[in-house]
Amino acid sequence: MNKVKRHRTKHNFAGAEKNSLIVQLLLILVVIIVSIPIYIVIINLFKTTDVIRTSPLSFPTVFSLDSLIYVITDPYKNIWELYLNSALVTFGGTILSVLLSSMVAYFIARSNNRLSNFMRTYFMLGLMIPYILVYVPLALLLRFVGLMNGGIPVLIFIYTSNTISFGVFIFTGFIRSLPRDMEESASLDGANIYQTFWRIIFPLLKPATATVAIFVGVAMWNDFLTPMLLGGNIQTITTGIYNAIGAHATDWARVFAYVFMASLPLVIAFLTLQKQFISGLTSGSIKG
Amino acid sequence: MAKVTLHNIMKVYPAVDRGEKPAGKKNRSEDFVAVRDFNLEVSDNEFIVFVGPSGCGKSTTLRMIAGLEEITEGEFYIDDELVNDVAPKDRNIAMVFQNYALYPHMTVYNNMAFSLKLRKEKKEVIDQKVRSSAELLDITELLHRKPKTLSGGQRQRVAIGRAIVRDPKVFLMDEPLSNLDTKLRNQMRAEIIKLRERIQTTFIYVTHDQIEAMTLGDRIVVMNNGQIQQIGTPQEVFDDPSNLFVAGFIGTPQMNFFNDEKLLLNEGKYYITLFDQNIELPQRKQEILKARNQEETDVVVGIRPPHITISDNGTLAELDIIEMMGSELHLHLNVDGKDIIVVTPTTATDLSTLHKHQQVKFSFHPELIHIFDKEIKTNLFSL
Repeated sequence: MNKVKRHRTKHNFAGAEKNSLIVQLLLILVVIIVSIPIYIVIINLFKTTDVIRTSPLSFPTVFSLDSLIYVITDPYKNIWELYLNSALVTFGGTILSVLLSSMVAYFIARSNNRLSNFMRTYFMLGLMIPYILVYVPLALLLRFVGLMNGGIPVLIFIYTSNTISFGVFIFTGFIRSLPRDMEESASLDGANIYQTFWRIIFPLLKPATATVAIFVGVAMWNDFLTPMLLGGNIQTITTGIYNAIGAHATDWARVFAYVFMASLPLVIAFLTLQKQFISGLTSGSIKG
Repeated sequence: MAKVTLHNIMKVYPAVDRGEKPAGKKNRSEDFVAVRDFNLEVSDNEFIVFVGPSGCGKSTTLRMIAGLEEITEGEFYIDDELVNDVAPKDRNIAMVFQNYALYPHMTVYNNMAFSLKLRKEKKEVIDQKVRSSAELLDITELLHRKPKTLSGGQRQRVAIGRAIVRDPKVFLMDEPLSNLDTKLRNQMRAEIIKLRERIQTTFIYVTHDQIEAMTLGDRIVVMNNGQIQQIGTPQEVFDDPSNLFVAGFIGTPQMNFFNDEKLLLNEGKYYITLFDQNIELPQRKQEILKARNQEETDVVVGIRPPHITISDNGTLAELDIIEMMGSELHLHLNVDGKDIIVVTPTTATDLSTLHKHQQVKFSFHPELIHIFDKEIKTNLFSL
């Protein structure tokens, strides 16, 4: 009996080791897959378009930063303007999305009537509908109301409406976990519902706000399709890549330079604010 | 400072609001009556304590006074002004919550100043009020700290400070000491007594702890099942409980009850049967029963544990358990299978003479017994 037991234990242990090896191999594979685009961008950043065309995956033999310098100093396409557009759209959309979704969530979390129940379902539906499906109706709608070339405000409006469901989802869960005592105490102290929300509740939502801001902010910064299809004359840093793509020829060196420049702010932000990013993501998810 | 009057107050939670979806007429849950027929007048500067077991409606009543719960029926007056529909902020009431409800992102100073800032008081006035309240509660050195860095007792002081800084007409406290450990609770209880002497205002205090109720209240409102059972001074409630519930709820250890006893009337004198004897009731109690023309009936007899003494003469019992409580001894006696608790001061008893399963005799003074109608549970000696 003992023998069998020992044998089984050994076998299980070997099994667990095998499993962990498989998991590790899978993780290595994921790391490789994720790293390939980064590798391609970095190696091609130092090459000329001719070299990229002939050997896109090889390591550069001659290091040249000409394309990057060209993109930064291009007199016809000011990259700083693209950055500014991206920043305006991202910050505007994120701030608006956080403010609106937290207010909606407060109403949903703290009232129990038909309107709040309807709103909860309505915003949950917003989470379920794939983003890509709304482009055509949205374009038609914008054309109908004459906002097709509305520029940055329209992009902010689209981003806010696209992300508000997610914000409402995270904030509602978080607000429900807050004790009501504080709000009751505030109402006895003389605060009205707005003062209670802005001075008591909103400051307590910090972890959820961080989660929502990170998720929606990164999505807005990285988004290519919305400014491309609905941005009119406005170019963000991501659609700026198209400046290097001509009707007949593509300047791949400049494409990679744009891709690098578009990713740079997020990479710097992640590297410097790693701790806050991770704590923001996890605390939001736990409390939510 | 204010007079508070509650007249026929009732609170009903509809079944739907409680999230119980009616699944058909048969299973449809009834509306829940949390408080009914609540009548009380609290005078200026009075300290009233609502006491009762969990779910008896005491916190609900307090929340209705605060304006945090709607009053389903009845009238609520502060200083003769009907305030049923007045918003909490306009009632000039302050409340200390069980969980302190301090604003965690604000310093102690800002927590205390919050209500004054909302009233747009001048900065100097706010500063002066916050600092004088902090001094009163000995929390001046905590003013720049955040609530999470404070201990439970300190948080409770801040919560009290936040309430008194507003100079409220009525001061409400919802089980403010229940989150503290025993030592701190005793200390804070004493501080509330001192605080009450320093700030002249009307207090309404909710607790399930009868010691808090007895030590703090000018009057106690004992509640059960959403109804007032008795209103009276601590002494009145202890000495003259109006019914079986109050008698059992107030007093530790609980009053000894003897069911299946009888009240007898013989030649114009009242007797009770207890331990196979007919005990003649004392003159004062005879008069009370005579005054109401009390007939013979089945009764429950109650005797408080400190009112029973171990003596050389009396009823024979077996000593089951001896509990040494420090200053007093709790003796569990067994009389024909019935457990009787006796409380006696440690100084009055030689512990070495008491042993488990020993035969002892006990007696009690008939003046100190209580008699309750078995059917309607009321105290037959209550006037």
